[in-house]
Amino acid sequence: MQGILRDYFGVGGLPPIYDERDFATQFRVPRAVFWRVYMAVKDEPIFQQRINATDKLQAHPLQVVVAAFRVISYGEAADRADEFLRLSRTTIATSNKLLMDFIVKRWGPTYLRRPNQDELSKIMDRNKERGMPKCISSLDCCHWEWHQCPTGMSGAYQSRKGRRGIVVEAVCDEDLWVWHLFLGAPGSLNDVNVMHQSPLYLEVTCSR
Amino acid sequence: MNGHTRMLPFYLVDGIYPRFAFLISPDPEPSTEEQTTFDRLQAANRKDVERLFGVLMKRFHVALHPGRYRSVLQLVTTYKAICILHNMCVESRRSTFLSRRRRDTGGDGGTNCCVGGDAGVVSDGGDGQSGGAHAVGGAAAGGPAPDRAAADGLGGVAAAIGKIDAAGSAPPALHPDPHLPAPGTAANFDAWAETQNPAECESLRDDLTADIFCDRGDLLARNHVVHNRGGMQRVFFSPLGRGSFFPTHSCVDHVFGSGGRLRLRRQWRRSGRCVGT
Repeated sequence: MQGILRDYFGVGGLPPIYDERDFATQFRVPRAVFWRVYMAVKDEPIFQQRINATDKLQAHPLQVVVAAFRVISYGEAADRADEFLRLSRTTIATSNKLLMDFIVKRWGPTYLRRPNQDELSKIMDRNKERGMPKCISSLDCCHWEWHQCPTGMSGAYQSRKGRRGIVVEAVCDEDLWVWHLFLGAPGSLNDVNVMHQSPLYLEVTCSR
Repeated sequence: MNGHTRMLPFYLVDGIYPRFAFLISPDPEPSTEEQTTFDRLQAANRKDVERLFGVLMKRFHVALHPGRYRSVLQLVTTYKAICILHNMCVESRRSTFLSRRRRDTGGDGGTNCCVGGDAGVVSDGGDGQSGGAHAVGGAAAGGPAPDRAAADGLGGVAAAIGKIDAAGSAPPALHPDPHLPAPGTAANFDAWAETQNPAECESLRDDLTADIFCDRGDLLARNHVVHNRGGMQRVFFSPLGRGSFFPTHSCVDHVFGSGGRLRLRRQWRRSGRCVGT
């Protein structure tokens, strides 16, 4: 805990060891975004620091958030950051899961919503300058491999390249803002099949 | 466009997708110059989404490595959270120099400057002044915020979030209500029969092709790399990757400096590509 504060936020009036740029490199998000997540998390009852039965203090919310960011930004195993954060792998894995759930619940309606009319017309104007009038955005799929796919489900989740994973369908504009995200389709489906079950397609075809 | 009225908005996709009127894929066998031009522009614009996946993978390595989660639900949640964080990053980057310059060159092209806390998110502590100025500009350019607030009550929430973020230390309030989806998105699309009509798609593509060919100079210019060295002007379709990219000496100079030129020459000599240099 002291180490985190000293390295990234500065303790006792000293400047932090890593500056903004290093911070953004190591956490893969700017400090403002990290701070925003932390501020939202720290007052949640589920992330509060607790005292267990042996009168020992449990993980601080800052440790928890840093641990979760380490896991998602480096894609590392949960026990990798142990020596830096002094948290057990169970705590890190659980906190990662909790934070992901929290982010989706809290900001999902804001950041993964469909464009409203205003934004849609702006995107179209912008694409008109690029030569595609009336174009919303571009759409594509990619596969995300699933390391711990159960053997029983491997038939459905095996892609044409022989790897097991899920398909991610996304729509984004020129700024790389994600406007639509559909995932969870098994990896054996191709892009067209995924599109046929995505809410985007259903909305377009059954809108009336 | 081109004498016809097109009401249907569409998405850009690649060749595998079926010929639906709301999906525009490149021409499978471009024969004329018009079609080639269209394909190039389509590919150039469609690479947005390819870039997205690349950026996501590099930014959050969870997406790069195989997911270590037990359930599909957990995978889904994680990827969604990643995308949300990515959107936050995009939003906070929008107040930086580069994006402002891009917005200036592209008119008021900031497509989603009215989203969420764009007004308030300030990338660095020291950047507060410029962030605030940008927020004012965004509000002015991207449709007046109070109007929207009156219209559907979204803007108020967004502005509130923005203010909280600007304050930084204030505990963020929970959303009173989530952002409502666009009321008119679905209405923009036409009925089932029309959206799935292959002929409609073909004609739309033809229209677009003809339309793009008319002012291809302007549209493709932003994807060109123009080198003006030694009185000769060479034009490459560099981001498009159509055909192979033959570096000439002037362009090698441009990219690598003079050292690169020698290095490349040596490589060429080895590969027998550039005889006599």
